[in-house]
Amino acid sequence: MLSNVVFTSVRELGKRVRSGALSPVALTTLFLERLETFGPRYHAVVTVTRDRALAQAQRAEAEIAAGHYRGPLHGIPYGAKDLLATSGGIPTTWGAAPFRHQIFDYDATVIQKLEAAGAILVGKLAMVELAGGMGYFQPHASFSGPCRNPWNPGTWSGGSSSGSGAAVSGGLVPFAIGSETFGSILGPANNCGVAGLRPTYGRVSRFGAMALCWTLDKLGPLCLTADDCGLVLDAIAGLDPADPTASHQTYAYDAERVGRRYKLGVPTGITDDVDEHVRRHFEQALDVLSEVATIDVISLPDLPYEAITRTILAAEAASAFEEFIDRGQAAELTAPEDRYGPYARTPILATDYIRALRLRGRVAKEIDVLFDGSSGFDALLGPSRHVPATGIDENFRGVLYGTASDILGAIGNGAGLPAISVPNGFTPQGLPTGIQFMGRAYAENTVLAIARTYQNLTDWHQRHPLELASE
Amino acid sequence: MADSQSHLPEQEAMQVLVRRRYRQHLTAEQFEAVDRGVEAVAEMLAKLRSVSLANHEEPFTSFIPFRRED
Repeated sequence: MLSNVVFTSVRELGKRVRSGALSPVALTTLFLERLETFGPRYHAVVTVTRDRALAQAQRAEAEIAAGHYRGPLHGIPYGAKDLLATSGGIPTTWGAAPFRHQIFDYDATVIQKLEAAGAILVGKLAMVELAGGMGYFQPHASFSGPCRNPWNPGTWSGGSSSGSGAAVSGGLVPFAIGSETFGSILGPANNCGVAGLRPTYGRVSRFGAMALCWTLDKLGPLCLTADDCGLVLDAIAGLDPADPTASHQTYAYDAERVGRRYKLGVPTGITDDVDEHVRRHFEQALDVLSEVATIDVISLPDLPYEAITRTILAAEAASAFEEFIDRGQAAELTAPEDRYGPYARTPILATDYIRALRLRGRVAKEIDVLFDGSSGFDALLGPSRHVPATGIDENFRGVLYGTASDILGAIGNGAGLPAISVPNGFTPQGLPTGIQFMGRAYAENTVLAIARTYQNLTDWHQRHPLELASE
Repeated sequence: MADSQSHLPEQEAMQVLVRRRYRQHLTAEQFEAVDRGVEAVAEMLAKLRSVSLANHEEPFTSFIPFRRED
């Protein structure tokens, strides 16, 4: 009954659950055991939510048996980044030692929506402390330990949605929820060889999620396939009175084929200063995509994208944690650089922060022109990260701000645009590399369709860590 | 985009501000690291200030007047 379940897509698991071929209780028990067995090995899990999961699974099993089927997530286990509030005495640690015993008496809206869809919460997943907002630059920045990459435990899973990437990659959960302020979904998706979707800002309610940067934080899924990301987004998107920034734009996932050639744009210089394997894989991907798309090299408007988005991030994070910083509690964080990192952001002038917000408007308008009209691009693309996973004891970026250039990340996060990262080949050392597709605001279905098409043309997403696939 | 200036005129004042506000929380070694961090922030802000903005270019952030439902 449980053969070929691990590393099976949510869509396929859902079909088996609906038909009665797969029991939600058995499925949940299997993934609870995998979380308990492998989670500690990879530092991927903070809390296994066994009691809540089994209660939800039993309810799902009874409902489906009675003919009340909620949809493709009904009876499917998942994990949530540990910055999403959960009730019932389950800690929500934000990955940080000072908050390791923090308890909320309510569920984040995303958790509520997934429960309404019948999904089963099996674990709270590891993350970089305070979602990386204190300026960390190496993997040992979480009270639960450095999250190891299932493809090579000597390398890092990426962050800050570290456990979300590792748990999906290792087959510990069928899907996970992560968050991105600047790179925290696409980075782990790249390192761990899974699909990660960063939705449009406001597409998914942030209520109940730790606030790092109010105008940059987004919640989104990490899954085995782009198609699964669409299924999950369909369940978690939508207006929420508890989050005034949640969008009024409705969303319904469209999994149909797009019957036309895509038009894709590659920014000039996007592979400058990237790892040679990442560059080669990206160039090979362009060859593959040329079967289904017209691809143009484009010049982006000359604006200081990284400085704009990083100024917003630095100022909002300094405010979100001002009292924490004022009390000197940063000293209790795990990473040495997080104990002093936030102080450097505190003297940013209000006029500089507002200047960044004004420049964000210019970025949003000038980039939108690229997507506009019948001649507009469907998506801009580039490598998901400039390097594959780095070593578990290695700095993954320079000590100072802006030393790792990420133009698409700066534009996409600054302007709130959706993007998806999917696997795009493996280095000779067996580490995944990723490709990202970034689209127009509210055009998740377009970037999902392009990513699905790419996954139909390649098999990178069908490869899984051997050690975990055989256990 | 105009060439950005490498430093802000107030960079040293920013470093002093941090030292005065947080002197009780940080060691001398940590303050040296904070100084380098402030220098990086200042370089980032200098890039922002190198771009000219027109009066009509408003901040891109949402504000919704609040009125409780009756």
